[in-house]
Amino acid sequence: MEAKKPKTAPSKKSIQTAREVWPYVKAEYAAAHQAKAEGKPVVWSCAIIPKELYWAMDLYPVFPEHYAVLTGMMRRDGTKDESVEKEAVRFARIAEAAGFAGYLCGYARSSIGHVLTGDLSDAPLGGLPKPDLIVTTSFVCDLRGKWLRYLAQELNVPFYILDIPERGCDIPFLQPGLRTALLPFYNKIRRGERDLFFSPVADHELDYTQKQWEELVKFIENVTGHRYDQDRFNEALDLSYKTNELRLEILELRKAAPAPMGVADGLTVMYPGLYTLGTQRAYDFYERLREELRDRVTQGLGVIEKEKFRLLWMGLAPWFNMSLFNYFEKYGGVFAFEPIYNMVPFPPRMPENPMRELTIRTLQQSGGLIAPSMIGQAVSTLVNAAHEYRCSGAVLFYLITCRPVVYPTVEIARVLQEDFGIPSVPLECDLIDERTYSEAQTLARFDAFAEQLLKRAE
Amino acid sequence: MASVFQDWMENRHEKVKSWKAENGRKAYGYLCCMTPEEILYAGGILPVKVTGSGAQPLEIVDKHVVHYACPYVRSMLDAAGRGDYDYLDGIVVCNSCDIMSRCEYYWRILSPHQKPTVLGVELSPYVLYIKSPEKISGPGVHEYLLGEFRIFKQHIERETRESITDKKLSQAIEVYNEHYDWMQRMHALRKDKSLKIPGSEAFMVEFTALQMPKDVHNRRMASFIKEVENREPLSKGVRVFLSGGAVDQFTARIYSVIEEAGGNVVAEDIGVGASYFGHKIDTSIPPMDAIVNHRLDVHCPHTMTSDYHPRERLDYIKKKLEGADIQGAIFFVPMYCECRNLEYPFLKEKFKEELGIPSLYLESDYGQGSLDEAVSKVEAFIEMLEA
Repeated sequence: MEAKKPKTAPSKKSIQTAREVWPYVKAEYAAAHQAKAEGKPVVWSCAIIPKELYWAMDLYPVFPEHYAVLTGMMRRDGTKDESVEKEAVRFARIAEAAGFAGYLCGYARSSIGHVLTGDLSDAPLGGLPKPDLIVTTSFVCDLRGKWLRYLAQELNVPFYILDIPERGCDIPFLQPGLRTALLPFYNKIRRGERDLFFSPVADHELDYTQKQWEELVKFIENVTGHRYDQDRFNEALDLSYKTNELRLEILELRKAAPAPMGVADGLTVMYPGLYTLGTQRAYDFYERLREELRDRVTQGLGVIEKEKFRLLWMGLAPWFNMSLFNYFEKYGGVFAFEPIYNMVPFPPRMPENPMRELTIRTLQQSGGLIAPSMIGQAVSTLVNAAHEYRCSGAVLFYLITCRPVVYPTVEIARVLQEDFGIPSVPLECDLIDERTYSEAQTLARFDAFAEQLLKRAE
Repeated sequence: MASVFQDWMENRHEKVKSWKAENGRKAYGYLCCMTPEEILYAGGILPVKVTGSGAQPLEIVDKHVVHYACPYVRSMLDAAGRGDYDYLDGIVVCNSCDIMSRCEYYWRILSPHQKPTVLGVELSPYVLYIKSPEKISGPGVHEYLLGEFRIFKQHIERETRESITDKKLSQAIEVYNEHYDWMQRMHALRKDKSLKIPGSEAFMVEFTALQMPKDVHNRRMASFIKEVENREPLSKGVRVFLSGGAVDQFTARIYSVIEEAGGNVVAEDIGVGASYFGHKIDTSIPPMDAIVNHRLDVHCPHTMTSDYHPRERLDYIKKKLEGADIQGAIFFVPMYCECRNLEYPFLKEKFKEELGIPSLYLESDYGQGSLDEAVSKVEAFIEMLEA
């Protein structure tokens, strides 16, 4: 696992709005510490849970997953000295010494190690404020349930898991009324194959998911004494809906050639939408981003001047070395799109029954369009993305420490190549634990892949 | 007597094929004990636990499943791809962990079987997926799982063209409750100081119950328990608790490794059968509700509860260990098994604090290599416990 220390760097940003993200992030952590100091309850939450309920019930959420990203980018006391290992590695070593396996998600190992140090403040940005409650979900992966449960056990904090049915159908689920293209399956049908099925969501799935949300409300009320206020909840959901419509517009703008915004920026600007959705500040951010992208598309400004090939990125991000997203630019290649963290159309607003609305949205998300949940769905999402964003190749994150991300990679590579002639190359490593990254192997693969794509483009 | 069990353990594929031919009935494979076996049994179908094979190399599965995945499930899927399980008439997949839930997809790809459709609707898919909940307590979960089991039952009825009545379900529950009774009696005997049943033998008996028709197994158990009660006590051995995943006919060698080192497994939590026969199915309520309740009491490393301060796994294991007089715990965990690895540090700490027993962690690659590596580690651990 231990290799020669690789050269790592942040990505080069193309978008002005993307440069606003770091101050936005710092402001969020400062606000969380401030909230704690003022006696407001702080919830440690899994990132994938919709946040509107937290705002409506006056909690301040922080996210161990996101904090782990910071530890993957920063060194102790903010030093830039490359001989000092990044905080993620320091914390991961502590977790591993306590018995947690090296194959576990780097986020989990980092946050567990951070907690096990016994001093939450000795970490980037002053650390995380101590939680008053911890909330997670069963959706996406098994690990986030057990990891946050361990943190709750270790910190002796009340814990809640929002259980979501893990849908196993091969076709993505959208809410009733929406249509979706199922490209891999069209090809199967053309070949005469008929092994292609879809089960609509049953009533008991909707009822159970809604009950899980209602129980979360009770949990928050019991632990904090804060009461649920439907009007405030609707206000947050209104903002979420409007923000998501902006994000959908942004996704459309990103289809332009040359690509007005690449994956390096895409993985950066997701922060307000993933972690602060349902707030005015998130809405304002995407409004600025939309305006900037409109201008860039109108002026024909791209990440690089002359695109020779466009790439699709599949997976989360190697946060410790985001410069990889600029690597192909010297070959005329640009990472055009990443089908992760980007939302699909939300169900229509239902102000009279916002819990039902959120239930449908949650099941829609668990259907695989924004996260690599079930394999058939992940393949479908990738193939659609490759077509829409005109990508001639894909880089697949063999995220060796994340089962849901790594499982579908072989099938995605196979279907992209066999059915659609789209080649791919793997990047094998963890998200933040740079000990797992082999620079020589990665760059050699990338060079060969770039040459292959250039030859095809001739 | 044990030879009947031995025969099933060593020749399970052939035994099931013979059972099908002799009885003219179907057999379904299932991947996890969250499966409502009683519904299959009530439908006249033999439920058979699917396991890995231990065969290497895994050439078929490599084309579809990454290496960074549970080696046991990879082995199982490779066996499916080779056709080892082609004699099964259906496969039941539950959401029992990240890789298991994806086996619906993998099994369809690696071992395709056509089933009848009407206007494109599968009447009873070859691979049946049950979206079992991760949370086994709290409001709504009973109704949810009941909804899942009703769909499952409907598929089985369409497969057999026979209605699965409450009466048939109650009869199946009676057979399963007898099985749970026998298993509880055997486990009570294992806790006894006389150590009349080596852990390896108990495992074989328990494991074969997952392959044999339960009524046949029950009949064998009556004479087996009688024979055990008349045995002379075994020589003294260090009393060990085994917690592990992917223990099957191949990795059961871990029991012998422990016995050869001077230990004896007297209680376990191995996710094969032991996780679901801790109590009987309630016969005072409608049978489908009773089966749901029974499965909602499976405290495996994947399931979680609605407790605000969760320590369900620890409490569940401590209850199992009551009267077992354990001296040490061995965790035998497959690589990439996140559910088991993530609970280990907490359990290890609490075992020490609350039970005063030390733990040994062994990682299994579901191959001979990790079993061989385990020998010296187990020997040193047992030696430490003896000291």
